[in-house]
Amino acid sequence: MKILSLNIYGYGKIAETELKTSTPFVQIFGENEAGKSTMQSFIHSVLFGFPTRKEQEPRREPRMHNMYGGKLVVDFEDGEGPVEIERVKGNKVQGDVKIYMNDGTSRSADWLVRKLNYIDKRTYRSIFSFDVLGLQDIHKNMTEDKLQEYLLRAGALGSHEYDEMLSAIDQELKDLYKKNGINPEINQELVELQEINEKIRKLEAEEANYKHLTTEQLKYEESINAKRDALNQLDTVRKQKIKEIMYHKDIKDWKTLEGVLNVEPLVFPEKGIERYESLKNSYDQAKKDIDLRLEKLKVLKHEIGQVELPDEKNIEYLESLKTKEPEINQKNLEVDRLKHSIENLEDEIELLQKDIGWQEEHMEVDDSNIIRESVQTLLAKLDEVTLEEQYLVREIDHIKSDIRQLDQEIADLEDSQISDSRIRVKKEVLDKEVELKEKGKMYQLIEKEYEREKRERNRTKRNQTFLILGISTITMIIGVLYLVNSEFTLGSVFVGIALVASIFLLLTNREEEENLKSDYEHEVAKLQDEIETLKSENDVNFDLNDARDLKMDLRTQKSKRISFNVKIEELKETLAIKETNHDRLNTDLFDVKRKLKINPDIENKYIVDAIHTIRDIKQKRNQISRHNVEKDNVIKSLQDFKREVKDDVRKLGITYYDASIFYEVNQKLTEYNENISNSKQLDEQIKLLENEISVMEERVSSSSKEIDELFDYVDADDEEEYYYHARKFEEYQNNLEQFKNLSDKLDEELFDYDLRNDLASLMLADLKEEEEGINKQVEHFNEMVQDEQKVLAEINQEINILESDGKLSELNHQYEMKKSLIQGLSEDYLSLNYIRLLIETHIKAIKDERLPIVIEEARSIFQFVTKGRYINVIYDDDGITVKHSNGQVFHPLELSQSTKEMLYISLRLSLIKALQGYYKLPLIIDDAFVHFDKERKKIIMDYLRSEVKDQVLYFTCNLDTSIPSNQTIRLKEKVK
Amino acid sequence: MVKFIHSADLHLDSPFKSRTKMPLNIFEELTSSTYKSVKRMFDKAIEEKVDFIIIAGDVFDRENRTLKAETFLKKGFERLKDNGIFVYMIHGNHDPLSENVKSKWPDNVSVFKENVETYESVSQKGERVFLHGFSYFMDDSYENKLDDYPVNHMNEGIHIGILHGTYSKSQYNQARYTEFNLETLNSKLYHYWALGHIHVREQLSDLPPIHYPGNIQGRHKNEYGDKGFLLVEGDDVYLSTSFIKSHEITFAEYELDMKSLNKQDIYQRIVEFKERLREAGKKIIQLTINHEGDDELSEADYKELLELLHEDEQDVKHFIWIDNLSINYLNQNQTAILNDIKASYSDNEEIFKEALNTMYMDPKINRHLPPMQDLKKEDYLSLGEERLKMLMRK
Repeated sequence: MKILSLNIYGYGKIAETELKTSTPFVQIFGENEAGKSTMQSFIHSVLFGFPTRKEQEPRREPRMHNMYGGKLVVDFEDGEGPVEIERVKGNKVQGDVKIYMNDGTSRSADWLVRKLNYIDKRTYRSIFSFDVLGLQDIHKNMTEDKLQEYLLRAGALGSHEYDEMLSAIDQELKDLYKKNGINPEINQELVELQEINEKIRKLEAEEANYKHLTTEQLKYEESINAKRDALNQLDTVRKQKIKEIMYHKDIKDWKTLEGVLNVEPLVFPEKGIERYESLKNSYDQAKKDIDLRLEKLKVLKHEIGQVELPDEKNIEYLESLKTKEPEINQKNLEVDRLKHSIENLEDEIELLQKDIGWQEEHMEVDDSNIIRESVQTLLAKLDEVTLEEQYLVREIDHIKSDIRQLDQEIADLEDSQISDSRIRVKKEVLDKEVELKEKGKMYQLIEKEYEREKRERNRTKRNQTFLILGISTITMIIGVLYLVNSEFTLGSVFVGIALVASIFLLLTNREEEENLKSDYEHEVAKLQDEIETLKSENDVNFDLNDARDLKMDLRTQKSKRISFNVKIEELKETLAIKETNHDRLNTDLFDVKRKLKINPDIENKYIVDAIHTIRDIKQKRNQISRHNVEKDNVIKSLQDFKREVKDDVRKLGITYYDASIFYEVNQKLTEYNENISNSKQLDEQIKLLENEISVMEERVSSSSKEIDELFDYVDADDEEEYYYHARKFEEYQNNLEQFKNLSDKLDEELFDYDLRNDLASLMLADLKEEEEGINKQVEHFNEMVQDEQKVLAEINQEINILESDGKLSELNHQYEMKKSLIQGLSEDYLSLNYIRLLIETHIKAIKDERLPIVIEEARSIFQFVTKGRYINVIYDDDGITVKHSNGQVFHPLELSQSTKEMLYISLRLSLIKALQGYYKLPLIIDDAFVHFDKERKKIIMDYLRSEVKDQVLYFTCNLDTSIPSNQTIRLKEKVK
Repeated sequence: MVKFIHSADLHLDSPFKSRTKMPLNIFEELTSSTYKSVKRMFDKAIEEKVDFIIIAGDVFDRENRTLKAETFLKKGFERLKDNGIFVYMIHGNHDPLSENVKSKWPDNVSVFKENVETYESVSQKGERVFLHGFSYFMDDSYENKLDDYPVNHMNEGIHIGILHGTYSKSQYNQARYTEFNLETLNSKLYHYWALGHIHVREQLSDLPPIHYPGNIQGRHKNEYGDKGFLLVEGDDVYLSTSFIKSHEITFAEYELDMKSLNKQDIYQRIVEFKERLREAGKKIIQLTINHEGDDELSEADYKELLELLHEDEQDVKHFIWIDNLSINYLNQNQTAILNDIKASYSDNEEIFKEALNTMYMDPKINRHLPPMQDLKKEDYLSLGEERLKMLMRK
């Protein structure tokens, strides 16, 4: 790094000072109190911060003003260009630093620290600053330890940082792990891991048991199954035994029956008892029935002897008489109907006569269609005439009212007529208005023409005026000039001309008369006045056409009235003719009424109806005569019948009456028929009874025969014996039935013949004993199965617990988790341990490897600066010694002051050279060479200027003239 | 048409590797995740009415072989049996036959023995399917068994090879058991190779299809992304595969850029970030914060922050668990601290060995540590440097 310039704003007593220090070697000369030390302190402060209270150094804050700090421009020789480092008073004790790069960007304070490779102010001073005091006690300042420390300080972290690092690592390592430790994290985790591991072992052992358990499970399952089979078998046996006990009685019975049935089978007729009893019953019954029927037969035969039978002829006669009854009744009714009808017709005729006003019947009156039609024609004509008359009367009335209306309208029109004088005035007014319009138009044309001409005239006149004015002025001037020059003749001539021109101008400029225009104006005004006067004197406020129309209307209406009057006269004549016709028709009709002998008062229109009524009367009369003939015929036939019958019926004991004859006949007929049917019925009953009796006798004989047969079948003599046989047979049948049932039942229950015989020979008690034995055995097996099941359940439960227990899995997870945690921590530990070892090795290496290099370098520098008088620098247990070229070895204390200082400088320079890789900082030398003679000073100066690669700032109060002035800065004045 | 599921490396009940102490809910989620994943697979099998399921080894995990896992699987298999689905299973290096299974599988399950065997199955459509495979007898490599796989001369039915091993060109860092190359597999003239062992899903060949389905549930940060199984469908002409997710929890890595390293700011930002992630399901993440400024986060703040973030996930269903939070200082010369030391001594094996020996000489702990020869000093150097920086950031 090279300091290019210093810019001190205010530091100690220096204020606002700028120094250029761009050369590799700079001699800064100043007398005492020129501020050399302040400047050195300033450089330190800007680079590393203002002095703090801890440092035994004044802060050098300016007393006179408040600008504290300044700026260094440095070149880090990294190709980035100059960098400005500015430090001023700020919040922090060290001040606020700002770094501006060449490209205008800025950097932080940390950047500067890094850029300076973490060197601190103390180290910088100890290595790169030389002052006379430091050179004094080389044996104290430059011990091996010190040197090593300086060497170690080189690098990103100074020895101090290494210490910090190591102690931090140690602390962390201690926290993490310690062999055989208890508290460190890893150790604790290991203990936990161990615990988990133990649990896992235990659980794994348990799980190993699983295989054993499954085998056991299988074994027990098989055993239980075997026992279950045996139990099943025993159960079958037991069930058999129970069955045997259950059927033991049956078997015994069966055996007994077998013995009983071992005889010849008995016989008996099929349903023998029932058959016998029914036969016996029917036999007894039949006997009883025969007796009863014989009794009844006797009674019937008696009855039939009492019944009487009538004669056939009488019956036939009565029957024929009976058939005539409806015919006679019909005839009687016919007579009644005819009588009634005749009466009705007479009544109707009476009514009709009253309708047409007849007092008696006039059968001779002509009521033909000819008469009727002529009446109808007359009536039609009458109607026609009447209608025409009515029409005419109406027409006349109508026209009369029209005439009245016309009269009214004519009167109105006459009132609204306008007088002829007014019309005349109106015409006059209109003519005048037309004239006025024409004249107005003419006047406008004339006015326009006049204006145009006037403009033309004015322009010409103006031109003339200017011309005349110009001429008169010029002539006037000329005239005046002549007059001034005493040429009075010519002068007055010209003046005169000018005056004449002026007068002419005045004359021509007068206004012209405007005659034509005003004439027209007058005329128009006059016309207007006339119109106004006419209008005001007469009322002309109407339309001429309207007046003419009114006149026309009046004339039309009057002619219309005349034509209406003529028409009305014509109509009245026609009406008189029609009335005569009417009267004639009425007379004709009256004649007709008389001929018809009807009441003449009857209205004309009813005449036709009267003709019809006459016809009805005639027709009805004819009908009455027809009815009378018919009635007479019927009455005659009825009387014939009565005469005929009367005698015949008396023979049969019947008296004839018109009303009851037929009832009597019927009565007689019924009586005869009853007698006949009664006798027939009795006869049939007798026959039936006789048949029945014979059948029953037959049945009685057959029954007794059958009973004998039944008795013979069992060889029985009487009923008593027969019943005995029957009972025996039934008993046998029952036994047989029971035996069969038992055999079937036992067959079904699978007891075969031998088994039945065997069991029959056994006692029930024996069987029960056997059953007891089997039960006990079953119980025993059950107990065994239960025990084994209990064990199996336990095993199953254990298996289930093992299967469902996720504990081992969980522990394994925890174990692996923990293990990986430990591995992680171990990695931390090992990596830090590795770093620790590296650092320690590094430190050791510096001691072992770098120191000799530094010493060797120091030796070569020392040899060079002492011009080969001293050839070696040795560090050993006794500290530092040097070897003279003559072979003698000296302790620094034995050396001369300047040589000692030379040694010190050599060591420092070699150290700086060794640290070249880490620090490239300017050397600051504060008059360190005061003890050197001229030659030595020259040597060291030459060395510094030629061999040292870093910038050297050499502060001195004795100006070295051998240094070029461009490398020298003189601090001229003492600072106030 | 035949339809089956190809899965591998169930590592049932496999413990998770996490360096953080997790709350109970997350721990339980982790322990149940492989089970849930397997259950999902079985559900899918039943839903899709597959003919059979192939499990190509490592059904159980070496580090956690318990009855729980076996019982779970047995019940699952019984469920498959009820649905008429068969299981063809081989054992891998993690669950070799020598550590025999305690349970007895239902009869729809066929487990291959240590010598190459062939099982014949008939699909629902009536096709004959031949499955060839073998199980590991011990935790060992079995290259020699590859020759025992029969070559398909018959050209009849569908032939499927099941193999638990490592593809010779595989770059994954899995232990290299039973290495094989594609030529060997192709020479068998099979229709499908169902591989297992490599936990990353990969298709090695399309004709014939040779697949690693990957494991069904990620178990640590290196097994990131979606995990599941393959649903294979087709006939003797071609079998097409489709991947089906079954994982319960995913692992993922994320980076966040942050302008400020203020504790509150980081916390806020990470909480928001987690909320965004949460929708996609449960996650365990490695989070790196990139910082370009000059801020620093102290050790104490870092610990507090992490603790806070972890506390937030307690009893959260869709948790986002930050397994590791690292801060990447982009702007700082990262190597500045130990530059010279690293330059001079990082090659020195002796120092590294010496550092390791402190623990590896302690029998209490060394058995829990990975083998010494597996450790790389570069890792430890950078980890140590990181830790040291953290320590120094007081």
